[in-house]
Amino acid sequence: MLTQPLSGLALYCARVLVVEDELFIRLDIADALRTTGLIVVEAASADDAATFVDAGEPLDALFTDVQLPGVLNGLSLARRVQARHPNAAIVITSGNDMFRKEALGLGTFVSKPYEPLCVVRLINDLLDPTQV
Amino acid sequence: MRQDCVLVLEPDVLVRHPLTQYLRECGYRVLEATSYDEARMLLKSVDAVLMNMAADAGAFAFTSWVRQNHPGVVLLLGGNLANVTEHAGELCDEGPAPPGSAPHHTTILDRIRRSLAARDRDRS
Repeated sequence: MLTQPLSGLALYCARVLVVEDELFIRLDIADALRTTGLIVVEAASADDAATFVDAGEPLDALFTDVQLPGVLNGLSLARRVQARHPNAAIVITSGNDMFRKEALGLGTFVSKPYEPLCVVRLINDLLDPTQV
Repeated sequence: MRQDCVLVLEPDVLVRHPLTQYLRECGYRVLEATSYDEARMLLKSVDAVLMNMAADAGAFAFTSWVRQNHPGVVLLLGGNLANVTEHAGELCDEGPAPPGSAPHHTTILDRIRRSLAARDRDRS
């Protein structure tokens, strides 16, 4: 259970790419991340997110669903991010546990449904390991 | 105090993200829609929609639908990227944050163009 208030989290200007095709889930997690000072880039598909990554935009963390519309899925996107931004934190989420093993090979796995504030804390901790 | 809410409807993340970030820095609550379907789901809670009419053929149908179903929503329509960023700049000039607290819209436009060029280079 989350006991610390969000205001207790360190404030960063780090940039997090959030990839989720369910609009209101994406809005919730993006808003929650922004409350801690993170810059959030929203994408509704891994293809859209890949264009952001390919443009060489700075990126500190990726939070992505696995099953997404388009050619790429979240796991392919995570591999792409890992190649271009080896220091970026990668958090993969899915309601399907069959993706857990592959996701854990790339970063951290979060089962759906998740509590947005827990994901916010996780990402903040990954961005600043001294806070763990 | 209630924050004015602007919905940015733009399918390309390289355009959408700098615009939304700019408007947030200007003090607006900003929602992002990547498609007309997403935009329709968000319209109840927005004061204005900022979009590029040149994005695709569905833009006119969408704006007509907004006029009929959400007549109180302000439509800020650009015919190209420069017009859209200009509208964003006008919002920021008149918006909640004091002028000068966010980068000028031409800076945003330059940044978008650089990002799009970088992507195109990467693809070729």
